[in-house]
Amino acid sequence: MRRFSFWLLWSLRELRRRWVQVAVIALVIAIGTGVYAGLSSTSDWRRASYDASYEALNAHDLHVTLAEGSYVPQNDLQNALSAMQHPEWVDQAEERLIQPTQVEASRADDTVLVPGRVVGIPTAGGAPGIDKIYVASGSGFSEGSGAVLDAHFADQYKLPEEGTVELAGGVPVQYSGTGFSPEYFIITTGQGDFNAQANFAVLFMPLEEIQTITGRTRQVNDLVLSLQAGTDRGAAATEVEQALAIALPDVGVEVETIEDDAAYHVLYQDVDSDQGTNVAIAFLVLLGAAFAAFNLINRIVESERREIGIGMALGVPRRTIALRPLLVGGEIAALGVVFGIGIGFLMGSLLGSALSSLQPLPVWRTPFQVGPFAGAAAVGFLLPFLATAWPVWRAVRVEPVQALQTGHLAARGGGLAPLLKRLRLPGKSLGQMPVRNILRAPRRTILTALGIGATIVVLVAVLGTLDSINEVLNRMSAELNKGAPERVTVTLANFQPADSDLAKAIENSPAVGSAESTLTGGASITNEGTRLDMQVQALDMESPIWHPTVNSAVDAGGLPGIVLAEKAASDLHLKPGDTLMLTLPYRTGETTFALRQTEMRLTGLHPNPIRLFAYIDIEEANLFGLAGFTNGFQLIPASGYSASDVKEAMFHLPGVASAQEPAAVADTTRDQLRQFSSIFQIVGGFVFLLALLIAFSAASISVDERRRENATMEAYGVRVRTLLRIAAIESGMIGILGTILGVGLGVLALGWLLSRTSGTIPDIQLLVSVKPATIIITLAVGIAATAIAPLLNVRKLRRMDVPSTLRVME
Amino acid sequence: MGAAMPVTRNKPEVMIRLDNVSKHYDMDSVGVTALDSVSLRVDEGEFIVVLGPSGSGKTTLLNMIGALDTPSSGEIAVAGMRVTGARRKELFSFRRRAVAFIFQSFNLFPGLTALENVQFAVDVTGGHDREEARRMLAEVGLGERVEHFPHELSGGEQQRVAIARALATGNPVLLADEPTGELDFRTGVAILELLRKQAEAGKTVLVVTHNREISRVADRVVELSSGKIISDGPPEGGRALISDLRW
Ligand SMILES: Nc1ncnc2c1ncn2[C@@H]1O[C@H](COP(=O)(O)OP(=O)(O)OP(=O)(O)O)[C@@H](O)[C@H]1O
Ligand SMILES: [Mg+2]
Repeated sequence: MRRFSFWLLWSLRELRRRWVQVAVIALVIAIGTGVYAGLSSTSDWRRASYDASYEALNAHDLHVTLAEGSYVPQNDLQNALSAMQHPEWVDQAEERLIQPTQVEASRADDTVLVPGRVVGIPTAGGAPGIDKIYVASGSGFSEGSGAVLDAHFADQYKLPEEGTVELAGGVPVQYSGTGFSPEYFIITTGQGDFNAQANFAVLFMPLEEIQTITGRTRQVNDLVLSLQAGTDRGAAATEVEQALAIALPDVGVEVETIEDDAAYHVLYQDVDSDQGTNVAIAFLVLLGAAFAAFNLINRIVESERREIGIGMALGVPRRTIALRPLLVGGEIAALGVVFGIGIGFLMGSLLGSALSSLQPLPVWRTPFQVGPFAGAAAVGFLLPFLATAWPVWRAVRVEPVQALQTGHLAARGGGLAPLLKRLRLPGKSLGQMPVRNILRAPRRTILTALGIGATIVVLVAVLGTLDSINEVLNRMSAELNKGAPERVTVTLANFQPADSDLAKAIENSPAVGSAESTLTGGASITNEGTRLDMQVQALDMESPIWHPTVNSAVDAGGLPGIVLAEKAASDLHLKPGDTLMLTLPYRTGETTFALRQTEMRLTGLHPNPIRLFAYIDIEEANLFGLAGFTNGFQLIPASGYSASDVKEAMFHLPGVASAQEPAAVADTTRDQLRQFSSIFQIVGGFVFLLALLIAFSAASISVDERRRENATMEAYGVRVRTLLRIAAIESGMIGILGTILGVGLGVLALGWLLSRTSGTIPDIQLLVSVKPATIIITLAVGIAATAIAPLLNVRKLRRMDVPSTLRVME
Repeated sequence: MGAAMPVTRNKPEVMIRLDNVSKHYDMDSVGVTALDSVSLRVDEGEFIVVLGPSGSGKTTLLNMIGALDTPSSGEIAVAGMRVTGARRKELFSFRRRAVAFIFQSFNLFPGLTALENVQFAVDVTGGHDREEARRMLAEVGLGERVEHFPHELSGGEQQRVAIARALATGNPVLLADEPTGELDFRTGVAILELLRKQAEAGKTVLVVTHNREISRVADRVVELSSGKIISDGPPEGGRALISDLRW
């Protein structure tokens, strides 16, 4: 027996001889490894950066909000905390006043008028100490003055780092810089969306100033607390709730921990679900590489059956015989991993800088991640290596005599070719060739199809995600725009009597054709242990302007009725006709609301995919204790006026928090998605490349394996062009098989992806939707890549030395 | 055997013509001359054996005639076409119309049955007769084995399929390189007989061998040595019957 170095050198010679195929497979492995390492690194960077950013701005542990429309005198909330059983748990507490408002930031050529909120925070003496403001540009608060505009919003509309915006009623506010606090690390409008800065503006101002502007002198409606290190947030929340219930019995309060914070939830959930997706994508790419590596090693082993047989006949142990092909497999895998680390490093640094510019945070940490890279290297090596071990193991298990049989005795028809004896194919010999070849090598056909299928899954999943999001947006727009596309919905900053000056001003505005008042309030439903937050709107359920579509309607049977989104009903395990307990704010005084439970009947389901929306008839307004009050309108423009005119008119009325087309969120989200189309083109190109590489590797193996047959055909005058056409059709057919497989599995994968996404954005009913265009693009990519791949062998075929190939004795 | 009857023709046409054909290989500064100024004329319907020791250039010569290989210098014309100087495309079409190869190692398509292997040749040359392939197999004595795959046939049977395939092209020139090389004596004799019959039916047949005994059955023996023709004429001691051969 020879030394290891002998086998190593021999295996390296093998690599050199097949360097094109080796390079192709190594490249596929490299892409898989690189994708895994690069994407996994970003997950770790994001998690570390979020942790550090929340820490840096001393994010709150607990957040107390008052029921909508409730205000209490300043210091009441803070003072109430002394009634806690363990007041020493609280490190700091700060009161705030948060008011919804319209924000206008229009500039010369661009109208920007969006709903938003002003956040009044203590700014004197080092405050705020909790939920500090990270100033991204310009300057923050000094000496209790200044205002900071949300940087996401400012970036979205390319606003200067200092300037003026107007609040509802035309109140101008000078802002001194842009920035945000932890609750606004990512912007949500509270309707289950995120990255909503195009439709939502936040302005941070000194508490006293906002109290003055809104006429709520020395009033607050919000409290944030930070706890002593090591304190149980849940236990503290319960104590705070109890203390506030004693001190302020008429006011409904809700206490949430930082984990309940919408931005916090979205950020961390998104990292988790992205990480799952990344691993899945990288795994699919590596799987494709493994199949390709398997095919190549299988071919190497098969073409060396005779050497293996001779070795066995000479008494070389099987282990030793297996060593060389195993070394070849290991070397290909190692080569792939080495390049993969490079690709991963490159990808990581690109993604790292893209991330920090796409998502501004006070702290971004992007150190080299040893763990993900080591993991990627291990998987990237093992998967293809194990794929090579199987054919090697099979080859060395045959009897020596079998291995030695060669030439005309061993050159079997192969695979499923005998099937064809029964199955008469139409057409001439050359036309039948592709089908015959496919059936002759069924294992390679299937593995290649699986490899291509694996990459196609990635494309279907990515394009399908886009389709599904678009489908949600379309469902949303269809429901909200039905009947009245020019409708404008208005929300007021506070509840107003139906005959108040503001209500009259709205109804009598010359831009408004018809108006109808609505009442909207935050509420919640608990059923079978699941609690969902709801935004309940009371409106005329028979309104000629707009009313929700009600499916599966049932009679309320004496109880007040409520209409929920399909997803809300199914998440709560409710069906139409069931009764449920609705917790909603009930007016207890001029500016106070308590939370009250009411038994309701689910009278139907509306098709809006946003789970949050619930509707009751305006006749039931008394459930809020608000009969005769209003905090919203739906309007139709007067003839000669447009929706924009109405919005403009509403902006100038103080007390209007927002006026917008009801589907504005869907529309801007759709616009934002369109900006991502280049990403999908990149993914498409990338999948095309992978499919091309895998198909090329298979086709190039076939050309090697059929050299003799091809040479014979050339001797009989069959042209190279015809041989290429046969190969292209054969490969294209494998491509069709793989693509169909990929589309099928892709739809399943999409379902899995969307179910994960549902964890991040549970408020949206995402349904698996794959547009015909996606199927067509996918088929085109899969089939084009596979049909083109064999053409890359043109050189090999043209350069084939026909005489020597024919002369070779097998 | 009746096969020994020579075919008489009024005006035999020149089917193959080589003028001063040479072939050199340049390998790592060591030049090999496979063929050295070979000139040759072969008439239609001749049965010729190319004889010579290993490495003398027999295969090279055959490949030149079949336009599988191009000479370094000299002129070749086959079946009325000038092969040297023709374009690649014309060479492919030449091989479909003019010549048919029979190989030492058969080179049947392992994935095709005997019948399909022969049908391939009919299709490639643009034939339309669906029965032609079956007829050819019957002619080589394999009418019963049409549905068998190559690996299910013996070496001799495989070579017969290869001959049937070559015949099915209907092309005037048959080029056989060591067609009996892998076969035993009796089988080899039968194959030779088959080829000889084709010459009698009007085909021009060139058989390459290094076996002097085989050359005895030819009308004419062309002997090569080191790339040169050293003799050209009827076999030594006159033409023998195939049944007289001894291996
Ligand atoms: N592709 C090639 N490159 C280099 N030399 C070659 C090549 N093909 C043939 N030769 C050389 O040309 C010479 C003639 O080869 P050829 O195959 O024609 O001989 P042959 O008479 O058919 O021999 P055999 O009876 O062994 O088949 C030999 O010396 C051979 O080494
Ligand atoms: Mg030879």
